[in-house]
Amino acid sequence: MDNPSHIPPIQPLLNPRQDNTRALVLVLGVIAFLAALSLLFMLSAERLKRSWQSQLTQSATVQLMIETDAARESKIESALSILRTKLPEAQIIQIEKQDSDALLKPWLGNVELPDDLPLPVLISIDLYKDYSLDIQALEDALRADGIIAQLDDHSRWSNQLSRTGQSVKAIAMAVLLLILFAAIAITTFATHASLAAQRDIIRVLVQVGAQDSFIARLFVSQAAQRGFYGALIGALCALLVAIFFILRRRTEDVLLPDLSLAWIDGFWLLVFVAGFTLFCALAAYITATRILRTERRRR
Amino acid sequence: MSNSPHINDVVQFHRVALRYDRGPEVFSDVNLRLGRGSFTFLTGRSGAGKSSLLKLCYLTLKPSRGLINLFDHDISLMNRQEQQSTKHRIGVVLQDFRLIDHLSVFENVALPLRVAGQMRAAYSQDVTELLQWVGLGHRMEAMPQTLSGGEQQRAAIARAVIAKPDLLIADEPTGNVDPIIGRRLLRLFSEMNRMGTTVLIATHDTSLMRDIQADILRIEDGTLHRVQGEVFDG
Ligand SMILES: Nc1ncnc2c1ncn2[C@@H]1O[C@H](COP(=O)(O)OP(=O)(O)O)[C@@H](O)[C@H]1O
Ligand SMILES: [Mg+2]
Repeated sequence: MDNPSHIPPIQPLLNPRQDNTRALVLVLGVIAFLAALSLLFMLSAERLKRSWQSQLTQSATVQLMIETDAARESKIESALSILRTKLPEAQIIQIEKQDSDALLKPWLGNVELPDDLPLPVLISIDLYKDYSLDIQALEDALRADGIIAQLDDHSRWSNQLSRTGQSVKAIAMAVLLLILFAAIAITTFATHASLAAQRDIIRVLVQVGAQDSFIARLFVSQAAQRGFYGALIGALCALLVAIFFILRRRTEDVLLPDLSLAWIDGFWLLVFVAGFTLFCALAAYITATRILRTERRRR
Repeated sequence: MSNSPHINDVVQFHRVALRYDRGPEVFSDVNLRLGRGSFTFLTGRSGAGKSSLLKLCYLTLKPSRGLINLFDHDISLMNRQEQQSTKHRIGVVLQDFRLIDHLSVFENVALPLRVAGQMRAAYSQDVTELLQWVGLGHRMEAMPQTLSGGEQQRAAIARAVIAKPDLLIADEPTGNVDPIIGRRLLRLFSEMNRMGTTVLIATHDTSLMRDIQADILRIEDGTLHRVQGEVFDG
C-alpha cells in the first residue's frame, strides 16, 4: 500500500511443475506433426488431382478413320475446318505423324512402321477455357461430311483420377481423424494424471468455494495451452519437412512423395492448430467435469 | 460481508449423528445453534470429535443422521453450486493450514477472492493490508515452505478472513503460535466478530477463553454440553 503500483505478478493456480509438461507437449507435438503432414499430403494430392483434371477436361483427341489414301489430305482439311467452326474457342491442330508414331511406340516397340499402315489421324483439341464438349454433336457434324471420327474427351481418365483422388483424400482424412483421436486420448489421460497430481490444490480450491466450472477451466486452459504448443511445433515441423521434400525433388530426381505447397496451406495449417487445440481443450473439459462430478458423489 | 438480516441462525444442528464408514458413532445426538454474530469456543479432549463437528459445519462431511441448516438452508437440499457458494461464505482455518506450495503467501491469501472472480487490482490492496496486519507484510512474496509454523498459520488465517466471511471456523488456531501472537489472532477474530461474523473455534487451550466473552461448548461422549453462554438448546 506504500507502493500501490507494486502488485505481485499473478501466478498460475495449478502447479506447472507437478506433471511432465515438457514430455506431454513433445508427444502432442509428434502427433500433431504426423497429422499436419497428412494434411499437407491431402492438400497437395487434391491440388495435383485438380490440375491434372483440368488439363484433361480442357483437351480432347479426335481420331479420324481414313481408309482411302486419295482423299486423305482433303478429309483432314475439312475435318479441321468443321472442328474449328464448331469450336472457335479452341486450339485445334493435327498431331504430326512422327508424334503420333511416338505415341504408339510403347505399344508396338521400336519397329519401323510401314508407311502404308492405315494409322488413324489424330487431331488434338485444346480448349482455351473450361467448357464442356458435346462429343456426340461433334461426331455427328463430322459424319454429316462423310468423315468417320471418334472423339475422346478423356472423361474415362478424368473419372478414374477423380476416384483415385477421392480415395487418397479418404485415407488421409482417416489418418487425420485417427491422429486426432490419439490426441484426445492422450489429453484425457494427462488430465486424469493432472487432477490426481494436483489433488491437494483442488481440495483447497473446493474449500474456499470454487465452483466445479472454475476448477475445470484451470485444466481446460492447461490442456489447451499444451495442445496449442504441440500443434504449433508439429505444424512447423511438417512445414519444414514439406519444404525439404520439395527442394530435394527439385534438385535430384529421388523417389520422394509428391508434395507441393501453396499459400492456402498456411491457412489450413492454422485451422489445424486451432482445431487441435480445441480438441485437447474439449477432452480436458469432459474429463475434468466427469471426475469432479464422481468425486463429489463419493463424498 | 454482512449477514443477511433475515438470517437468525448461522448454524443449526438437529439430532445430528456422525460415523466414519462402519466405525462407531463419533456423536449420536447433537443439537446446536449458532446465532448470527455469536462467538463460540468448542472444547473437549483429544479425539472427542471437535474437528469432525467443524467439518460438518464447513461442508466437508455429511452427517449420517439428522438435519443441518447453514444460513437457514438445509444442506441436504443444496446442489453442488449452492454448496460451493455457501462455502465461500465460510472462512476455515485448519490445523494443517493447507497452503498451496507453489503459490506465494500473497497468492495463497488472495485465493478466495480470485476464486470468486474478483479482479486483482480490486483486491491487492486489501490483501496487502491484511498481511501487514497479521505481521506478514514483509513476507508477501515468500513461498509457504520458507515460513515458520506460526507464519504459515497466520497466512492460513489471513486466507480464511480475506473474503470477510459470515462464518469463521478455526480448528486449534493458536496451537502453533506463541502466546503474544495467539492473543493478536484472537483479537483479529473478535474484531471480525464485532463486524458481524459468526465465529466458531475449536480449542483445548482454556487460557484463550478467559480473554473473550464467548459461549463455551464441550463435546463429550458423543454429545454437546453447554459450559457457559446460551447457545446450547435441548
Ligand atoms: N477420517 C477419519 N476416518 C475415520 N475415523 C476418523 C476420521 N477422522 C476422525 N476420526 C475419528 O473420529 C473421532 C473424533 O476425531 P476428531 O474429530 O479429530 O477429534 P478431535 O478433533 O476432538 O481431536 C476419533 O475417534 C477419530 O479417530
Ligand atoms: Mg482435532
